[in-house]
Amino acid sequence: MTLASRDADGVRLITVTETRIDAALAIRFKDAMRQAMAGGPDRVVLDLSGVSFIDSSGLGAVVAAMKALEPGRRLDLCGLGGTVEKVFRLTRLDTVFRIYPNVEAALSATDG
Amino acid sequence: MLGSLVCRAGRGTGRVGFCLSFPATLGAVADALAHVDSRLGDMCVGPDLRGDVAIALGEVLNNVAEHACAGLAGARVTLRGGLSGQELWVEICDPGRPFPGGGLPAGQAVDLSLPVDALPEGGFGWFLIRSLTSGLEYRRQNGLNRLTLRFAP
Repeated sequence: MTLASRDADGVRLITVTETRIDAALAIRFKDAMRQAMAGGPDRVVLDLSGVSFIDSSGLGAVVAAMKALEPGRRLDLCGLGGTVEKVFRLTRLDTVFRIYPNVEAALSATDG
Repeated sequence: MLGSLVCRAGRGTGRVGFCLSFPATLGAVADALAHVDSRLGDMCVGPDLRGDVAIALGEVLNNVAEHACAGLAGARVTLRGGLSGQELWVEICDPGRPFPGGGLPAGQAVDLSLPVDALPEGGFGWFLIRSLTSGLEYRRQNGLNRLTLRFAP
C-alpha cells in the first residue's frame, strides 16, 4: 500500500494510489496512514478520488486513521465517487467526516 | 489469481448467468469480484446495481475468508448467480463453519454518536449487506454454508 503525501496551504494532503481499500489491504493502509500523517500540519486531507472500492474493513481503517491523530489534529476526506460515496452514506460515516468534492475544494475550505 | 478461477457458464445459459470457484482467502476476493462484475456487465446489469453487488458480495466473501473458512487449508468458495425475472441473485457456497447461532447476523447500524476516540472500527459489514440486498436466504446443507443474496432491479 503506497500513499503519496505533500504539504500544501498548511494541510497535509495524502493521496491513495491504490484503487481499492479492502480487507486484504486494510492493515497496510492503516500503517501507511500513520506514517503519512506523522509530523504534519494539524489538518490532514485524504484524497480518495483514485479509489473505486472500499469495504467495511477499509472504512474501519479510515476511522482508525482519524483516531490515531493527536488531539487538535483532524482528518477530512475528498474525492469520494461511486460506490465509495455510497458506502460512506449508507453507514452514515459521511456525518463523522468533513467531506469535500475534490482536492481544490478541500484545500480552499476556510471553516477550520 | 485469475488462473485459479473456474468459469463454467457464460451468458445465455438460462437461469445461471455465472459460476466460479476460487480459494476461500482474502487475497482471492478482489479478482472474484472483478470476475462477477464483468459477467454482470455481459448480462447488461447496470453500473449502480453492479456496485451494490460488489459491496455486499465483497463483505460476504471477506467473512467467509476471515471467519467461516479461517484456518481451513484448501477451502474453496463457489459462486453462482443469474437473473430470475428482474431479480438478480448470487449464491455463495463454502465448506466453512456455520454462522454462530445458526442464523445470519442482525447487521444493526453502528452507533456514531460516540466521541471520536470511541468510534467503532468495524461492524459495518452486515449492515451494508442488509442495506443493499432485497432478500437473504441461508441454509446449512451437507456441511456447506449456502447463502443467497437477492437484489431488486
